[in-house]
Amino acid sequence: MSNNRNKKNKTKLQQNRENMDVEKLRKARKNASGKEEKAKIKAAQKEAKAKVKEREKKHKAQLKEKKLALREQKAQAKENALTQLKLVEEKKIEAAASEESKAGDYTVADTEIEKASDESVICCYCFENEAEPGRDYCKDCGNALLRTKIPVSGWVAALIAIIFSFCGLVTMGLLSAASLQVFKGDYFMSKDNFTMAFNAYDEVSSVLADVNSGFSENSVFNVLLQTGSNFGMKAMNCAAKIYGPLDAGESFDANIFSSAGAIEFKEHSRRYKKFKSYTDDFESTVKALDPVLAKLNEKAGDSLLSLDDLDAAIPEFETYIGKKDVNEVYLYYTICVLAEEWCAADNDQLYKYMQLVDKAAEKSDDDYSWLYYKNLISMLMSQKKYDEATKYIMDLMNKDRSEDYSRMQLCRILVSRGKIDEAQAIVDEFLNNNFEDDHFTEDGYALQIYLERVKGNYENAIHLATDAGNYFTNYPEVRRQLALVYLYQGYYEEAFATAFSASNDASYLSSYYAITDFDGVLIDTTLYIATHYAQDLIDEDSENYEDLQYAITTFNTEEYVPEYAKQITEGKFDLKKVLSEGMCDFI
Amino acid sequence: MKLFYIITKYILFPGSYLRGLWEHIACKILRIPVEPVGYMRIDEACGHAEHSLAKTPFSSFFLVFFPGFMNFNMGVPLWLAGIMGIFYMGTTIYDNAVLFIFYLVCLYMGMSLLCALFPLSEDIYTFFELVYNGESFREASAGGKVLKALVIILTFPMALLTRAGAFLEKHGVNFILGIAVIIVYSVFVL
Repeated sequence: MSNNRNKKNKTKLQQNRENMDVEKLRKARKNASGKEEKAKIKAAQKEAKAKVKEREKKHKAQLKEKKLALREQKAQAKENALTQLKLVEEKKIEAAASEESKAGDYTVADTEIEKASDESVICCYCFENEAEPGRDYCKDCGNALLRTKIPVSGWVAALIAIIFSFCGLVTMGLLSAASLQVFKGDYFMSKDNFTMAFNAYDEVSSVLADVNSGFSENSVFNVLLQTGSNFGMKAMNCAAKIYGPLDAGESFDANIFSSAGAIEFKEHSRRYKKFKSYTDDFESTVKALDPVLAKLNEKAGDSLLSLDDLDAAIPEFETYIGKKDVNEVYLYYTICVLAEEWCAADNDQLYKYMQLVDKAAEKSDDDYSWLYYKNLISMLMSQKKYDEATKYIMDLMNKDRSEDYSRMQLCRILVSRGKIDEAQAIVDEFLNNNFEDDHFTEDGYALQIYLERVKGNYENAIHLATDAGNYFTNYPEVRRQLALVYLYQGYYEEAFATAFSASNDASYLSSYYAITDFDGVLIDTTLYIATHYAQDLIDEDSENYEDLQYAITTFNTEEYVPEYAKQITEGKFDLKKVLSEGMCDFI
Repeated sequence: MKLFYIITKYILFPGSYLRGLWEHIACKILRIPVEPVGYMRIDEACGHAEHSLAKTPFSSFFLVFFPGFMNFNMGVPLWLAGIMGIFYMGTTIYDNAVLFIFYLVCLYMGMSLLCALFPLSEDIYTFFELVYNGESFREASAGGKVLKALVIILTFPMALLTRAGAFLEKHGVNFILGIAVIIVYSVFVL
């Protein structure tokens, strides 16, 4: 034992001496004057530090050995104790009749166990002294370890973490409302409810503006309260689902990606390039067809191109199929557009060209329903091919839960067949999936007002239209439906005022927002008919007089007036019958 | 597994280091000896302070839950700030490089703090031994300490969760979960 103590003291002395040397050298180096001297002292310091390191290494190795030895000791002591217990148990069983020997053996066993456990409790830190009873360390080590200092780096880390978490808390607070709005949009996107998603994304900027209004213009928080390019991409994709990628790109690209950072993002983003590829494909197709288009333009001159000339040019168009930069679907779609705009073809004539587009789209792996389905449905409806139209309507309905055009068409088909309950079920499903806070969307109001009108519940229809007016500023279809109610009831002046507002709403939406998500032909038809019936009732004193004059002038000077509208005003069809039978609309 | 655990602790060193620091502070408060071997050791106790086991139920409770509580309270706002800024506001490096880096740092620090919530297995086992052995409960009920008995019952789910969490953290599973969450956000939210 004394040898060990001497050894320990020597080691401690040696350690202290070495530490003192290092400290001395450090002070000497501080006070040294010449470079040579400093270099010498530095070398000596290095040596001293190396010695200290070596000693620590040795000490660690010794500690490890001691730990292992201690572990073995503990294991051995445990084994001994267990063996003793077993012996005691056996003796208990053997000496069951004798009470004296039992007590003696227990005492022996207990003291043996105590001895064994006593022998195994050595301080877990120094591995030299015995640990205090019930503790892991000896008294000296225990007291020393209670004073173990928290390193300065720990306090610095804690301070940095607290500052950072405070910044995080403030950021979280500022962005939470807008993030929730984005989350709402993402949720609707995941449910294929694209109009609701777009409305949610549209709200984000106003939410941020609301939060921002609490800070000054030059506040540092303004930097945080902005959306980035990835959000813009989300909104664009949503718009593409509703309006198609071509129209979405045209209408929203410049608005969403207007900042310098956003423009740079567009150059590097793969997702944006993929989105843009639709527009690029279309433009490259039209560009590739330039020679054929130029020929046809020359043939037409200042007048309309004949459909025969267009039909004769189709084989030439088809020679471009399979060439680089030419998309077959876009090629046939271009032919369709030419037929409509250069040849003024009607729906029946356009149908055969639309069938070519449909055939080409079926062959392709990509989805082109956004390009031509609505037009095709409109053509099929005008030809009364309702069953064929239903196929495309159902496809559109399944792709987008907020798609109202297809649902309106399907409701019209069902109403014409007397299946009003089925139509109401479709509208109920739409209303359940599409609502804003405590009211319907504009499309929801339009659908429900249509059915109320069909059922003859005109008061309900008027009430719903008035309710819609509380939430929306521009709602052409709702106003048009209301105009139809007034027309049926014989309130022609009110019908005209409402139809005129509907037409204004449509012009405003298409001019300022490039939104053409309404039936322009139906709006014109409704306005024409309302103008016809109201013109004798509105005098100069009426507030609607100027509007009436404007409408009359417009219809007199424009070449195009809906044919069906003319037929109704000429008395070929009875107005009330048209509005109460069949589809109950000007279709 | 140990190597993977140590690697994850070093990758997420802010949270690991702070976890060790809070444990050290808790030991100081409870007057539990702590060995001066640092928090980021290269062994199975990396990211924790080397201390003797707690002897009383309260000290065990404090030692087990206080560090995780601190990391959780600091980690959640940072994590959410990073998630909101990058995935919901859609900030990219092209929009504002400084802001984007700020959000990235928030996300990293948040994740590192949230991946260092749970104690060592020894500590949680000690806690269970001290609190949820039948003796403590019987003592509390017999002594009319209904509140104490109720606390013991009510804290059981949280203790169970912590025990499961300690097991997962020991095998680096929480790091994998953290990475998986970020990948899911990148694919489905961005």
